[in-house]
Amino acid sequence: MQPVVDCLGRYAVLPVYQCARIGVIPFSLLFTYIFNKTPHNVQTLSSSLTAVLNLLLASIQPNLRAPWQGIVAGVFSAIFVALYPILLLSTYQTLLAKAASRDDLLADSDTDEESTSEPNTTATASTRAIYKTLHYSSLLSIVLLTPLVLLSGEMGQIRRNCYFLDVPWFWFLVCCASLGGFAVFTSMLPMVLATSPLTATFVAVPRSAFQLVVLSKFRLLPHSWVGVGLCLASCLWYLSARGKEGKRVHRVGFTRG
Amino acid sequence: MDRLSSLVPKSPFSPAALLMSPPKSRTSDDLSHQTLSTDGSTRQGRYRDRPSQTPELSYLDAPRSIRLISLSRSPSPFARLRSAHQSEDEDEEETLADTRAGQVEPLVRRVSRNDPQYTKRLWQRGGLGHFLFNTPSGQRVYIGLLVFWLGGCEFGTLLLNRFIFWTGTYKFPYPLTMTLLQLLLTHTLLLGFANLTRIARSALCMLGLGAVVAPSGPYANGPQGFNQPPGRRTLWTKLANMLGLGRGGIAGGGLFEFRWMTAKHVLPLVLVFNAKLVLSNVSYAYEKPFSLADAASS
Repeated sequence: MQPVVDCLGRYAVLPVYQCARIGVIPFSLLFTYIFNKTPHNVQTLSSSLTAVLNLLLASIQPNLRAPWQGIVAGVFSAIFVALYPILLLSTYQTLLAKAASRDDLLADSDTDEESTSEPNTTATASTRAIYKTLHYSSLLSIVLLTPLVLLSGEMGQIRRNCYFLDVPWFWFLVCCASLGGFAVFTSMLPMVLATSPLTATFVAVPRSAFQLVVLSKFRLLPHSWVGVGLCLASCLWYLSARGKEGKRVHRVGFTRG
Repeated sequence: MDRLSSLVPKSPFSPAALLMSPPKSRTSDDLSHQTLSTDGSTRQGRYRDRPSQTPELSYLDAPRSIRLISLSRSPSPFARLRSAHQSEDEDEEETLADTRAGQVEPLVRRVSRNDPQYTKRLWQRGGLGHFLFNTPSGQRVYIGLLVFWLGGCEFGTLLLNRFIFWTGTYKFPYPLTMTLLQLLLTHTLLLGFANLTRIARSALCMLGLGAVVAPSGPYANGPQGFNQPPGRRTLWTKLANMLGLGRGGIAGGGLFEFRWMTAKHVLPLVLVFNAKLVLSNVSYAYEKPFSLADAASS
């Protein structure tokens, strides 16, 4: 048993990270109820909470050690992770409403229907709103983060400590990570539109269970295996509970104006 | 009804009318029936279902009957469908068949999954987009793809960040700088993606995914022809027009499209997004793994 624990100890970071962020789904349930006035039925509530508790069971490991900064940051980040899809949806709807009102001014509202068939028509209001949301959030994030980076004093440390800034491999890794970040950033909005903010955050639960298994190289303690199995099972339960969610998609579909 | 009025003289008791329809009472009955059946289609059906003692059927069997009058001209297509089998007129039959087809079959024909036409339809002009966005099974496929794509990309990003922060050859444990770098690259990629969709516009429209194409021009700010406000032509706007900066970009408003009104709407989202990103990366980067030395000493 000792080698297993030792090995787990070396890879114990991810479980801590997941434990710290376990509150994402409860926060998401709470915020969607408060801000979106979405009544959650019993099945959704119980399935999602069961999945989260099982993920917690799977993530708890013996001999966990982590600096407190990381845990505090993780706990607070859970709030913002839960808030993000909700605000994304509301921002998109605000921009769409503005765009739609301008379209009314232009009085060519039938371009919506033709955009899929005719190449040379103007972009639909929804497409424009989506791109606008992406553009503004990306641009403003850069604008907001730049002074933060300068104030944090990381630049000086990097200049002192990092000798590898001219290594292509490092930049290749950074580019790959940004490609992943770009994919997540762009597909989050279609995901929220196609399903709901809660489901968009819930995707992280089976992913966490999966990455827990993969990153510990399939060497988990028995109780973690139980937790992972039950977590995936309750994800399927959640899927069946929200199965009818797809039928409501038409309200804010990608092609609709 | 106007044909009826042309055939039936003004006075219902004139000799011509008597000649055309054998019993006089039946004419009036038929007339009243027709006027009634204009508003109620069920009445005609009731007449048909009855056995042959109804005046209408015996009237049809009579050799001197005038069929044009007897055929109900009621506007309800349902009633006409009921009497279709009695019509011998080819054109009538065709139009009736058409109306029946329009009534019974749905507008979009159901094609079973095993039908070879199904796959052909998918690759027709705009078929893929229609399938993904407008059909229930397509919606399920779309959501499933999105879920796997999102989960996979999140996993890959997490793995790479982990590699960059603390398991790679070159460790870079500076989450804020890393986040900013990735945001800058993401913005560039977003720009490239928007331009790519514009280049591939015809192909995307062919697939029915025309909604993905980024808008190429800015919003027209009023009725057509008055798009640009006349004032405010400074050196900067001239330069921007010359360089084509006023168009394209990500959302069609140029590379540095920025309106304070829109930015105000997006600001809460951006604050939350930044907080989420920074806190996640900080929490991830601070949880350093036990190094080999740590594991050995413990």
